[in-house]
Amino acid sequence: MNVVVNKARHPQLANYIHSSIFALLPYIQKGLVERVVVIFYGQDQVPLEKFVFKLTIGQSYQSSVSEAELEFALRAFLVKLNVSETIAKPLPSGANWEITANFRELPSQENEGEEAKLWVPTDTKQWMQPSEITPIKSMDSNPLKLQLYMEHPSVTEQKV
Amino acid sequence: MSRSSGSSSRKRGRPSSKSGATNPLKPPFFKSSPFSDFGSYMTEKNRKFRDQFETDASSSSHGANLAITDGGVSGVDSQGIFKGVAIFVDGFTVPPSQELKNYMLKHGGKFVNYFSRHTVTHIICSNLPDSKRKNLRAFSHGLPVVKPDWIADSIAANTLLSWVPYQLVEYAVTETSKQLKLSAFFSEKGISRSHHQGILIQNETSLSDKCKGESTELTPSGTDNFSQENSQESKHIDTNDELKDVKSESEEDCSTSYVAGKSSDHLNRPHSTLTDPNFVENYFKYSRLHFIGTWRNRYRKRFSNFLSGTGSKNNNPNNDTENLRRIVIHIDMDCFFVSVVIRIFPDLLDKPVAVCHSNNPKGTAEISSANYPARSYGIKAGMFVRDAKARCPHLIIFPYDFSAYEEVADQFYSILHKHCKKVQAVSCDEAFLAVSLSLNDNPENIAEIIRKEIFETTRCTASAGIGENMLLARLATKSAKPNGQCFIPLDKVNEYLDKLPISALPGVGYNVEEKLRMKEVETCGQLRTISKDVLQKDLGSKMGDMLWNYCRGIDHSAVEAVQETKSIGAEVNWGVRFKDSKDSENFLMNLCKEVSLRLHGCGVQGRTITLKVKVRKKGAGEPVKYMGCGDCETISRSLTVPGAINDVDSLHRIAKQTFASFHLDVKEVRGVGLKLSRLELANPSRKGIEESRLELLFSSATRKGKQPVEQSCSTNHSREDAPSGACPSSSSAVSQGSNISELPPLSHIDLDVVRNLPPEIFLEMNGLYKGELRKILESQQQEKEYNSESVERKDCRQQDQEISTRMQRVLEPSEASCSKSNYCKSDLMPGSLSQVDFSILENLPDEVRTDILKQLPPHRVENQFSESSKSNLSLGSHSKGFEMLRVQNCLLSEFLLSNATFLTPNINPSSEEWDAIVVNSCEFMKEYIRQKIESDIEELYNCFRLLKRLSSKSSLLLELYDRTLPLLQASIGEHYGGKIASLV
Repeated sequence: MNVVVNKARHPQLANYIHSSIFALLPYIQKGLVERVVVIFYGQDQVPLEKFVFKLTIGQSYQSSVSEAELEFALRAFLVKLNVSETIAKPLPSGANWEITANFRELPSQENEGEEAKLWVPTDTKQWMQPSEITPIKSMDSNPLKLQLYMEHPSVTEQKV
Repeated sequence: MSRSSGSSSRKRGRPSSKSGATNPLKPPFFKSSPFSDFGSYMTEKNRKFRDQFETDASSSSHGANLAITDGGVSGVDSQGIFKGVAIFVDGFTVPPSQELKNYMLKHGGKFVNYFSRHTVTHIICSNLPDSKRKNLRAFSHGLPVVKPDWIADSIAANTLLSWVPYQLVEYAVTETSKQLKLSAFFSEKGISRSHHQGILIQNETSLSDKCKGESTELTPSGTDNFSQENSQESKHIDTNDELKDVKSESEEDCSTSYVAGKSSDHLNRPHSTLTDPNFVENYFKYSRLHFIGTWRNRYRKRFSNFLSGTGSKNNNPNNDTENLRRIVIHIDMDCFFVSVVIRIFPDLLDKPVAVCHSNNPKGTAEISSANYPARSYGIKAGMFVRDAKARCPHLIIFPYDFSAYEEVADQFYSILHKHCKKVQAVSCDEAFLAVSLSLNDNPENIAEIIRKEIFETTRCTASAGIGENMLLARLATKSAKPNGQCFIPLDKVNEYLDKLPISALPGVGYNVEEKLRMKEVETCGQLRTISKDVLQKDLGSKMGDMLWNYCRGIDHSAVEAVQETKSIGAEVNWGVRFKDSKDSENFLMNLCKEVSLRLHGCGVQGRTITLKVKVRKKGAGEPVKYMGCGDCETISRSLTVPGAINDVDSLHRIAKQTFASFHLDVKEVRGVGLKLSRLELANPSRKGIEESRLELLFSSATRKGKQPVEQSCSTNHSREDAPSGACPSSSSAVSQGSNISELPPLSHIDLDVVRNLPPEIFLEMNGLYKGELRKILESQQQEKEYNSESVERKDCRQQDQEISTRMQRVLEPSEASCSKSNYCKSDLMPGSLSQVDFSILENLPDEVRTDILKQLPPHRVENQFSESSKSNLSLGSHSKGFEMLRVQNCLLSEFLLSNATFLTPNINPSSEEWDAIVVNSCEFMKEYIRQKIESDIEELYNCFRLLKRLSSKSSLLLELYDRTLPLLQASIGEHYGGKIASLV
């Protein structure tokens, strides 16, 4: 079904995205990854905006869902991202972004071997106040529950 | 079984034998002998012993079948009570080692002739030589050293008893064992501590396993302690400078050594945030700071008659105030913690003595108090024991004796209250007295009398400072110490202050001192030259004002008998190590319990909840202080709730949510503190209201366990067809198509859609339904007109009934025309509620409804039920509200969207019925939020946006929105660490 999902075209950009997601894959499969967050930073490296993908993988679920079905569901999921531009705030110049993942627990080196060493803890600055959440899309199917929401710093924090 | 374990241990037994065998330098004749070297000889010898032992064991356990019931079942040693236990007997024991060996034979244990860390689990010995005792860890390799009684008693009890009470006494009391237990206990978290514990950590697994095994047995004693702890409440009073001083002296308190050595029931309990379920309670039980904190409460209870009496008694002498002058006396016991402990040992008076948890010369426990001889060596409070011992090797260290402190403090205050009506207690050993004296009285006399009496009663010395106000009295005490008194008369104030360094002023800390030093101000005399404005500009208005006053000896604060408590909380920053988020949650729960107990103890509730978390600083190594918090970053966040709370559940909920919002790696957490401020008295009459309100808001959190499992399964279902619903434009087309091809019952058809169809399609459909469609439409049309004409809006129930009676007529023929096969493709049936009106179905006669339901595939049925009961609910029918939730399978937002008009019953907002509806729908919303919060916040977001939009039309929805929004925000906070952005 022909739902258009936009994708980065610049080779380096696409490569960064692909490689980081691909490296996450084993952990996602094991259910270790709780959230994958795309963080946009201002020039002072303070997060301005976060797109949070909250993942819950049902590991016990036998994959009776066909790949096509899942792909269709995910396409539908991502379509919502295109129309969420209104929620996003304009970014200042000099902003940058990165992909981070929040693990439920740190991957232990015994279990994951060499790959675990590839991951470094982030020192992302955090907001002082609880963030403001704008849900964008939720998908609740059995092997994969996925929620997408945006986080912004709370109003009181922006003033400070 | 025994054979396989034997071979595995053989492999590990003597790894050196391998290298020995391959050593090319070995004389050749060794190769011909059966044992190439000593290592292989020992291996062989051990194997022989083991084989012999096993043969003996199997024969003896057969022989013992009659005697040992459980051993007889299989006849194998694995059934014995000592299964998995391998003992090594060291030296002379009672009973002798041969006897012990026989016991082991009979009861399934192993007896090892040559010690090896890998095969032995327990070392049995009756006593130890001095050298081994001193270097116990090297000797035992961290294995438990147990008295032989353990084996005898275990056999008598016919079960494997805990070895902990049978440890060699000397072993248990020494510093090493205390640390050993701690490490065993904490090692479960997989965190290795300071270097000198290296050996212990190697053996942690065996020990911690033991601890685990024991923990069940130990819990009863733990609960006792808990209840004892309950009776002790504490308050941390933020305004109290003195308390802060003490706090800064030593940030952490340890609950370890002396306590463990002194009382045997504490001895066995593991100390940890993790395995010890009562860690928080125990922590506070052995904390000196906690003692100081709780002491005030005790004082208040004990001297309440004095405190309450002051007001009335003070009124009498008020008449002749003109002839009196007010003097403040500050009394402070000299090195209280030490002098109380050594008051029974007069010969120690001139020897250096300090009070500390631990006497280990290498230890990192902090000295909390040192006497004056010790201070002359440069020993200060807050110093590590090892540093203190380095400065003064013959320093004598005493453990805390809290009961003695209490006793002396009580005596101290009895004396003070006897001499003075107005006593402001600062801490257990320090107080301000406000005395009124006639002009010719010398204030020094009264201080002299009090000090003398204190010494005679308590055998501890006190110093006194006398001045016109509290500041001067306090400053005077500093020059009076030790065991002296000092009076600063009004005319000498300036002279005294001139040379006083500013750091001596209360409230002047490192920062202020540094700032003033930049201006080359070091004494109060220099400070006086600076104008108030400049001070206020540099240091803030409050601080500037205070300093300006202080350097002139002005202090307006009055001696007050009772100080208001500003905040109540508990903080733990020693021994906090979490393995995973479960640990931290347990810990938070315990902390909340503690805080809640304290709140209850003081009879107050708080509105602002502050959670403070200490996190290991990036790159900070292990703290020097054993199990301490080390170099930490402190994060704190506070939350103010509309209604004051003091119950564990709400506290825990908020604490958990705040903790989650930090997004911390729990392994890095080194300390947690929870504090409530904005305290209000917990007034029982108002409490009722508060509680019911809170219950309303938060009950969902406490009821979590009830949620049936099936619910989660059913909710999963509905979202699978979400993709088809994701494009609203296409969904109506899909549903139309399905109407035609599958002919759902008329009750499924949204008449609005039908009405808007092109005429030719409508005709076709009407034909399929044998003309009934048109009839319905017409009747609905009439009804609509009727509705709009009548000024009073029709009650929905009535409306339902009218429709349903008509539908009833309609349905029977249409149903008959539908074959069952029509329903097989259930998933393609209209998924959107906007096409369905189940309230009609609900009102059908039972047999018709069951017939229809039978026709429908199961999960559609659930849909209808939930739908019907939902509308029921909104109409005030109570019974089905929760039944519906169990089978909940549809989206509320769609329901709201399509049934907005149904949700506006025309009921007087003050009536009981209205209340019932509101309560019911709130309950429903709560359930709904609880159900969706983890999987579908998008839906919740939509619901609340719709509710808000619709609330302008319906007071019911407005009420619903207002009541459930806080819960939504709280749940979002708990699960996602944030708040839903503005709902527009």
